[in-house]
Amino acid sequence: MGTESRRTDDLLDVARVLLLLQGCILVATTIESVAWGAVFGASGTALLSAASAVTILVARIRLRPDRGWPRRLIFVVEYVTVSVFVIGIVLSLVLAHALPPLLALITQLLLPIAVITLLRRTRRAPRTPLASSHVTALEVAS
Amino acid sequence: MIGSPMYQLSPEHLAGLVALTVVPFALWLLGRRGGRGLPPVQWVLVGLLLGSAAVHAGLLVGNDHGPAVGLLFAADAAFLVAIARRVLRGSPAGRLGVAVLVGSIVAYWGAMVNEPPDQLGLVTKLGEILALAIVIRPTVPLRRLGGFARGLALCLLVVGTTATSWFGAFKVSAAEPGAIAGHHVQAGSVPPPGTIFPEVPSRDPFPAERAAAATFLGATKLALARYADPAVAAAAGYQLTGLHGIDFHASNPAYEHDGRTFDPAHPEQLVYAVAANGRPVLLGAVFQMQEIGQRGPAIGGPLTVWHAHENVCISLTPPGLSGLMSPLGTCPVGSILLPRTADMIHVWLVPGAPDPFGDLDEAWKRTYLEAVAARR
Repeated sequence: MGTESRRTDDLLDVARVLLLLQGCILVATTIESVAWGAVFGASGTALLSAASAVTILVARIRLRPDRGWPRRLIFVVEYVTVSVFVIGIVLSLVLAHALPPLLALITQLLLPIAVITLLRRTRRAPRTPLASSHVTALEVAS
Repeated sequence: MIGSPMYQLSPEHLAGLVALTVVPFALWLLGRRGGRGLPPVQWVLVGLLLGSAAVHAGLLVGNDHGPAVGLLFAADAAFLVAIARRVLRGSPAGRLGVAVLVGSIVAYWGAMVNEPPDQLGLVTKLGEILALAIVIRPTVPLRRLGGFARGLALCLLVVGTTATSWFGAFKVSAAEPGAIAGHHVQAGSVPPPGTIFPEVPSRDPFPAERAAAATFLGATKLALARYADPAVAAAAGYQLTGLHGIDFHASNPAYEHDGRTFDPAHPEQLVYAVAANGRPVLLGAVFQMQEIGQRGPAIGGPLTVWHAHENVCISLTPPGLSGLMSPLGTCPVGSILLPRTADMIHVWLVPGAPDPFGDLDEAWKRTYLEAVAARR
């Protein structure tokens, strides 16, 4: 039981770090989207980028082994990111016979898949008063 | 075709990539030698530190920036290995870890003043930022403000890396000998992000090429004069909804796969601008090949150089161009990444356009539009 709990905390630790990086990348993407929106007149993507950044950063702070809603929110963003990117890859291969650059594969495919995998491997343990107060303290800390 | 170095691997950095392949083997070896008790997050940190160290050590091989930069690469690699060693022994990376990682990231920003980013450099910086996120994550409870400040600092490093990479990529495209003015190409130049050019021989056009280009321009001006009235263009199928700005491209989907390419009367797009008095002005047309990768007919030799676009983001909400792929590999959320478009060429119909098949300078465009508004 203790080993299992430790393992869950360790994996969530990695997930939190990856989510912080992803959230920051989404913040940068939002800033770029606003700039592109001024050029091309597409403001919807800036709003979606901002919403994704906020979702990831807030859900990351609230992420706990026994709490379902943060991981559900994270899953929505990650699955949308991966799905849209995979559609793009298929279209690219069919139309342009080309793959996206390495960084796109890392940040839009590898990173979301890593987060999904880590969150799926962390068990939702029953909430105990001790665990709850300990995790709340860490939550504030992160 | 030549694209922006930002989306490619620089040949100078190939040794760094080769060195990076050693890291998985090193991690496997370290795991066998008793590092199994380390938490997963610390293993990730060790991997990232060793990865960055390997790249920096590899860059020593192809380094052509002088001995001072070589020394910095060597020092960075040595420090990163030393920090990885500390972590493997169960000690925190500490202030040294923060200083070396932040120093390495900020030094990269400085390098962007003189050279463009490339994929290996950006992957390395992304790895260093992730390593820093691990190093600065709180191991003891902090006050809310402290945690927020650390997160904010990390986000600033990500935004800074993105911004300086854009700067480096655009600067080199404007500063290289034989610089590009927008879409126009000269041999030996570096394209800006998002644009790819064929390699063009550096020579003057032959008389026959000049004549062919002039004939085509004349035929296009004659055939498209009717589209000076946007209503006529809309009736022909050009999408003019939301016409705004000084570079509005109205496409005609019916002409994109009609079997006609480079037909003066059937361009795939028309380019309009809205003058200061609110009246739309037809500036030019864009001819586009049907298939991606199909080369356009360069009837005027170096006068009529076709180009394509790379790594463009296509929005789904609503459909349309939403930007270029970020240095860190993302598109605005809700957009699909298209690595390459079909070849295309602009033909500017306005009298006195300096380069009818190249790029129309924005300042020139504004002056022209002011003159048009004053006339009407």
